[in-house]
Formats: sequence, structure tokens, C-alpha cells
Amino acid sequence: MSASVREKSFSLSKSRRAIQWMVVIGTLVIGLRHILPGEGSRGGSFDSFCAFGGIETLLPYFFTGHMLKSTNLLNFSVLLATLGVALVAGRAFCGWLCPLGAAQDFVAEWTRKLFGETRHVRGKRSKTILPLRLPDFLDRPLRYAKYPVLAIILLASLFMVFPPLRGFCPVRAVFGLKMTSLLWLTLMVFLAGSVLVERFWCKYFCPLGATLAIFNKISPVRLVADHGHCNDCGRCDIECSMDIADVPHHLDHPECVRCMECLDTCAREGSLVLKVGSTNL
Amino acid sequence: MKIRPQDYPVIIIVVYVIFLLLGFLLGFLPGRGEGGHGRGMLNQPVPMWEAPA
Repeated sequence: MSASVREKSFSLSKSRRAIQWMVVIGTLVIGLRHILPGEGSRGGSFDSFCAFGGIETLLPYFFTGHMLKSTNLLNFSVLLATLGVALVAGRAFCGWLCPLGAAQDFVAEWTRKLFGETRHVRGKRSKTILPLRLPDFLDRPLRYAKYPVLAIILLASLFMVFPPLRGFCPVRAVFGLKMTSLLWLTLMVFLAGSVLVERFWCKYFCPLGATLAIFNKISPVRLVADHGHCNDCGRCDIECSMDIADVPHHLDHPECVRCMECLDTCAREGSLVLKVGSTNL
Repeated sequence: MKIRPQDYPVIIIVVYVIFLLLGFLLGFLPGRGEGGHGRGMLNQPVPMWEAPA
């Protein structure tokens, strides 16, 4: 074997999975606390731990000085932390710290296993039917849907008492444990979507992802490809949960959630390099 | 400057915690009894004695 073939002593994929489990368990604990009486007296509702809740209540707070019901100042701290990560590492929050992103990754993994794939296939396209990739003519326009969703929510926030997304928020549906009929419907749609298409919510509808997308272009911590070294084997394209085509040439793509599965799967050491600062090697 | 892959998760978590603490230092904290269902500190009802006649 060539000396450039990477010998792995550390798995980014495994450490990401460990962090995602911690985030999911932490969010479930917040959800459990949500169903116990007197949550308000213990420092805020379930919604107040949400970064997007900070965005939803930002305009009403700015224009009227009032926050939307079920949000409070803690939302701004969580939003600030999320924006801080985005400022440094782009959409890394989506790939590593978002409980909903983690839930979708788990559903995709379990779906593959259910359809007979005992482990994630490295270097070759999955033989399983699900999760599938939508055809281009559907996928491309749907990718832009999250931007109008964000605009509608921001506009609606000015006229509403509760956060506009609250009634059918997938985070509340998955982790909130205080269900309404609309949240049950949301949960079913979310699960069905995640089984059919990997990271279905992130790709098409997530308004927080729409907010963070721009940071992929400006964040200093980034992946850089050495095109002289990369042999375009396509392993990273197969591994990409966001289905970005030709990954080495689109490392700053707004859809990239900086999960680093491409780096982890790359067999030629030095083809993809994690850097701070310029895009030059 | 190159970063080792094993440092990447640490960077993300440290940055998240630093900015979260920054938010707390800026005063973005829930007070006791707030935010449960719309009783944020900026959303308190005006006391009767302050209300216009």
C-alpha cells in the first residue's frame, strides 16, 4: 500500500456520535423536566433552551421590548453560543450539537440497518433502498424552501404571542414529551421524512440551518482540499449526509454541516486538510 | 495553520461554552419564575398604581 494511505488512530465519526448521544440525552432531560410541574420556577420553559427561539423572539424584542411567550433571555445566550460556533466553524452546530440533526442521523443509521446493512458502507454506495436521494428536479428547489420558511417565521413573529414554529416544532415533537395532536402529526411526518431522506429536515426546512448557512463562507476553521493529491475517488460524496455533489470542490457549500465525515472517510492522507484561516494549503 | 482532527470537537465545544458564558455575562439569563409561560421580565404587567387614569 502507498505510504499516503491514512492509518487512523482517531475517529472523528465516533467522537461525533458520542457527542450527539450526549446532546440527545441532555435534550431529553430538558424535555423530562418540561413535563414536571412548575418548570417556570426552575429557570425557564423547554422553549427557552432553543437557539431558534432566540431568533423567533428577536424581532418582537427589538421592536416592542417584549419577548414572545414561552421564551426568555436564556434563548439569547443559547443563540449567541450557536452563532459563536457558526462564526468559528460554520454549520458545525448542525453537524455536531443539534439534537434534531443527531436524531436524523440515528434514524438514517437505524434505517440502513433495518434494510440489511449492518454498518455504514465506506467507499461504496449503499445497497439499501432507504434513505434515498431525491432526484435533482425535486431536491434542488426543495433545498431553497428553508429560506422562505425562515422569512415567514420572522415576519409572523411580529404578530404572534407564542413563537410561530412552536405549535409544530420538530424539536418539541421529538424531545418535548408534552404532546398535542399537531405535535404528534409533526413527529410522524418528521420520522417518515427522516426514514425516506437522510437529514430531511436540515436539507429542506430547517430555518436555523438557513440562518447559519452563510457562515460556511466566512468561518476561519474549514476544510481545504489538495486537488493535486486527491484522486477524486468519490468516497466523500457517498459519505456526505447532506448529499453535496463533488465534495472536494464544494467544501464551503452552504449546505455543508461540517460533520467531517468526508475527512474521516478519506483514504488518502493530506487530500483534505483541516485548517484555520486561508483556503490555500 | 493546520488543525489536528482530534482537536476539532474540542474547538466546537469550547467555543460553544465560551459564547454561552458570554451570554450569561451579558445578562441573558432567566430569572426565577420567568419564561415558563410568558412571564418574562420584560413582559410584566403594569401595576395598577402606575397605570394611567
